Amino acid sequence: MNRILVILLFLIMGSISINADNITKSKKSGTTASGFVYDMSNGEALIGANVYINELKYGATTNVSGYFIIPDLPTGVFTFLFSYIGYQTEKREIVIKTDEDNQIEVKLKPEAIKTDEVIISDEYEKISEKLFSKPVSKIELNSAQINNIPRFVEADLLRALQTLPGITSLSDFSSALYIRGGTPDQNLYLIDGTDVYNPEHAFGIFSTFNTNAIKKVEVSKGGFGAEYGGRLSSVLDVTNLDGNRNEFEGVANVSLLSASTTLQSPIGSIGSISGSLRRTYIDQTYAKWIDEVPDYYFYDGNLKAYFDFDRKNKFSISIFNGRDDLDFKLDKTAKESLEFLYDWGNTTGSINWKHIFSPDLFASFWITASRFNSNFDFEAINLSEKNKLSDYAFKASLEYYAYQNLTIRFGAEQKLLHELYDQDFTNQRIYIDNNRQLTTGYLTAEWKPSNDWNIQAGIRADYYNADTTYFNAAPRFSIKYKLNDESSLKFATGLYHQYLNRLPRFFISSIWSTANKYNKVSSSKHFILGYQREIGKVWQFETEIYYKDYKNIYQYNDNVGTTIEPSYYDEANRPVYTNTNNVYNRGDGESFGIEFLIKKDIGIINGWISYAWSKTNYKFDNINRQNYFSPRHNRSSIINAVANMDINKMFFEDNYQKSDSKWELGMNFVYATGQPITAPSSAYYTNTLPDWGNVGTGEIGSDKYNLYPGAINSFNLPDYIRMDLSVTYTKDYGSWSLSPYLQIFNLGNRKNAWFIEYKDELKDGKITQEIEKVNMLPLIPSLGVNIKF
Amino acid sequence: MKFIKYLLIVIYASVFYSCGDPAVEIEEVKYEPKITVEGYLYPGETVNNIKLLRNFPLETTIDSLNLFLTPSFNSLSASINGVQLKYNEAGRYYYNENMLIENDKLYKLEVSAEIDGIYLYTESETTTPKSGFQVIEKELGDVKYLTERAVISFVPAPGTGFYAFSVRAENATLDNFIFDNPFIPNLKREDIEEEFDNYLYQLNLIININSENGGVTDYEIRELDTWFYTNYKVIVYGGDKNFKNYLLTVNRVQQPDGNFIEPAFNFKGDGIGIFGSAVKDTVSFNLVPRQ
Repeated sequence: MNRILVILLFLIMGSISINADNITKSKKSGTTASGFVYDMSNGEALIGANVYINELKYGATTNVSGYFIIPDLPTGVFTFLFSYIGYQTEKREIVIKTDEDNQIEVKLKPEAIKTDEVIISDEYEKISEKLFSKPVSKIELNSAQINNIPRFVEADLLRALQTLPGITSLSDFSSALYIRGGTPDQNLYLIDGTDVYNPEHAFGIFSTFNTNAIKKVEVSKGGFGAEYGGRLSSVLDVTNLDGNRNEFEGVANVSLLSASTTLQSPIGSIGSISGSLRRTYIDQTYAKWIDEVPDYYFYDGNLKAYFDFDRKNKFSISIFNGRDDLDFKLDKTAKESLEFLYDWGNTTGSINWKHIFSPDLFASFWITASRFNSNFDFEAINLSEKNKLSDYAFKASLEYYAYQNLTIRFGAEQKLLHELYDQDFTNQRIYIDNNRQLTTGYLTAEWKPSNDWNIQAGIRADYYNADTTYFNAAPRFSIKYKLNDESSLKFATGLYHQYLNRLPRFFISSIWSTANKYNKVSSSKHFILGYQREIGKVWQFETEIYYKDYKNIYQYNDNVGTTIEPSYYDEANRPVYTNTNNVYNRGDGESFGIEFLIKKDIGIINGWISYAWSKTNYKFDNINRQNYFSPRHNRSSIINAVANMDINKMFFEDNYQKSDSKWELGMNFVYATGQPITAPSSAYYTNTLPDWGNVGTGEIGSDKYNLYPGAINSFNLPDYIRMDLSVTYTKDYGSWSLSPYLQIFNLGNRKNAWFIEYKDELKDGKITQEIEKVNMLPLIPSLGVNIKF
Repeated sequence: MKFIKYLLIVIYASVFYSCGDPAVEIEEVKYEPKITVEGYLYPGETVNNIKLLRNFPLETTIDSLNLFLTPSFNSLSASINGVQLKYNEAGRYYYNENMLIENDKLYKLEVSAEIDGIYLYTESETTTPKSGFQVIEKELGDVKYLTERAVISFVPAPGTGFYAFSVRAENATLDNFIFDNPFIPNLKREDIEEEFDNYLYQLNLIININSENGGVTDYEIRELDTWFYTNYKVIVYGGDKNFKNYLLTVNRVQQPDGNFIEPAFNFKGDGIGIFGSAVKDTVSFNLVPRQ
């Protein structure tokens, strides 16, 4: 299969060279138009804005810095259209002069997302164009869209993403994302270019991303280009706000769980600064009132400074810190009680320099650092645990606009990983301390033979150095074809590698380990075919069919104690384990499925409806007798419906324009096939220890039997159905506004099954057993208020 | 207004559809009859107390008397290293008083039986631990709660790195239960009554200890294993691989997330349970209040 991908890549590269005539015809004239597109209200660069020249019928899209370039232009006066969803399209007549870089700077004016569809005209960015420009399987969301989705107490990025097709969760208690059959460790999480590990608060219930600090989120569900790597399934790339360049701006939120604020301010004329802080106060409220609630809180905060030294040099520094702290005491009222302490969190930092070497060569350089660590201390059983994963990286990515229809992107990354796991228990110690290096280079060519075609071919090469070395080359390829003015067809394929494995743990943070001589590099191939269509100028329709395989993926060996061997014995003669040999079961697998999405971003009712069907099969050593099985996250059918409604517009149309207050209603409906579970197929009697026994004496007790599982995950829990609702009232007081809100999670109070337990009863020497269902979260209302100033 | 009417209908239908308490229906669980084995071999002792039972389907009423496999009812044949086992009707176990178990020797159990009209066969092998296991001090005397810990010192059998400690309070009653323990305060008598066995039976394991250097290994009995002021007997088992795999996995088939996983049993064919071997010895101490 690898060979097919490489052949495909070379065919395309060959096709590019065969069509060199096409390129040389438009050989570089030196006449270019380049510039930046900004948000007029705050000076933020707009990522992915469209620049279109009416007369020439082509254009460009802004990159992550809001930068665009259109090379090889003829001279003359042209009509440029600058458009971006949620903003008024800017139309400009621009004179293009010969043999020079025609520099343009545009500021787009934001407008309410609830623009009435009747005013959509040809001057707006066509939805079909936007769909065509989007890479395969990519979703983009901004802060407003995330906050509009009804939430579980806190606005949460990862929970918001779970409303999209192909993205699901394991339970109400988890914000972790399972994307197209992939597990959470197969998702690359980036904040301002920095890798984030275990992005979870509150035992996984919330994620660490503060939605008010987010400028843009890009999620690639598969088939992503060569500029991304290191994970098998998906990329979640979060760009935080640079900060308001025009004036001081703030938003504050108070809910039953937490308080948070995001502040932005210009730094003179050269830049801006933005910062966010959030803290829960369970430890100061509920924990003081209710004995059963443990002393627990989390906080997170980020700070980003952005400096716009000149047109060619932009510089930013971004830091993030989040921490969870739990002091669990079995009985808080007692002087002495069983107690353990646990704290964990992420710290990240990045320095980014963007430089325009020449109008057609744009570069971005990063120095990033990321660290996850946790500490666990359970004195009563003499158990302590320290877990740390550090990631230091230097990255460079460059974009060379070779010709009007050919862009070359290339870059390199040098990453240093340090994993430390130290568990000290009475009679044993686990001490894993490793340094790993990953050196990566990539090259991608994007070629547009005509306005109807877009072809990207690339390759990513990794050199990984651990206790053994691995070299991997991963070809990537995508092709887009515009069928007509309304619809387009897309295909993407690629090979992906992963050098990390995650050992998930129940309610406490995961442990990461790196690939080594025992756990080989994981790989996956993606094949995705998509069709997109604009319907009636306001609706987007997308469907994608995909297949991906997995080689050498690792799942924690639940019976690890039966197979691990110590590396040496310490001075106290305790066994010490220093590697991950036998900690995981190795396996292969596949995922395939089809997704449908109908979406409307504007209008008094906006939102989306989606349906996803998928199937994932695993085959693992030592599990299910090496037969195929479905993992627990495999939900075959999922329907999502998200709607946001402007109540004023619906009921009070005449007074709508005059009103300084409005009501909004949000709805989120989820239907998902029940998760697969393993059910016990039978029970049997054996004593735990030979001297504990009653077996054989006629005194078989109800609690002496053991359950024996049947085929792994061969049954399904009942279907999962949930409806969430939010009502928000916003009152505008000119320079500031107030938005109290009510959120209701699981409005129908449906008792969705989490797992099952068996209860038994001994009566008249006979045992009867019943299944008892353990449910997920019930109806949970929450109140809060947002203040913008 | 028509639109609003439709909208209200959609909201109403969605809420209606998302209500309820769906029942879990595990139907058509494929029940596979298995030969359940509980058998241990101890060097220096004869083959005794090998229990052979059948597993049983869930959600059915079980008569415990029909669980035991017998030569007459199940056409059962059981042997170790080819030597036939006998059946004790009264105790409902298998034995052979002429077969003396030796150290460091491979023993193979073979069982065939008919259950529900299906012919089943299983086999399992165990290699008994080498000689050399020795508990240094068997009577530890008084141990003061929270200020001292009972320390069991032993020389492991060479090559046997797995040890299990069965901690049992003798004459345990509600009257000598340690209510003022620092771990679970405010316990009531009815709580203890309900969970009495869970306080009485304590098990601890150590794996992969250094058994080859001839040194002494110390094991401390923690306070969480002692819930009564009384005499304790600690049986120390030095077990083979089968013993280790069984003890590590038999009670862990349901994960914290509720899902079930397979235990690691060492049987070929249709067997489940344990056929293992061990060396063993007993240590005693008396737990007294700290003052």
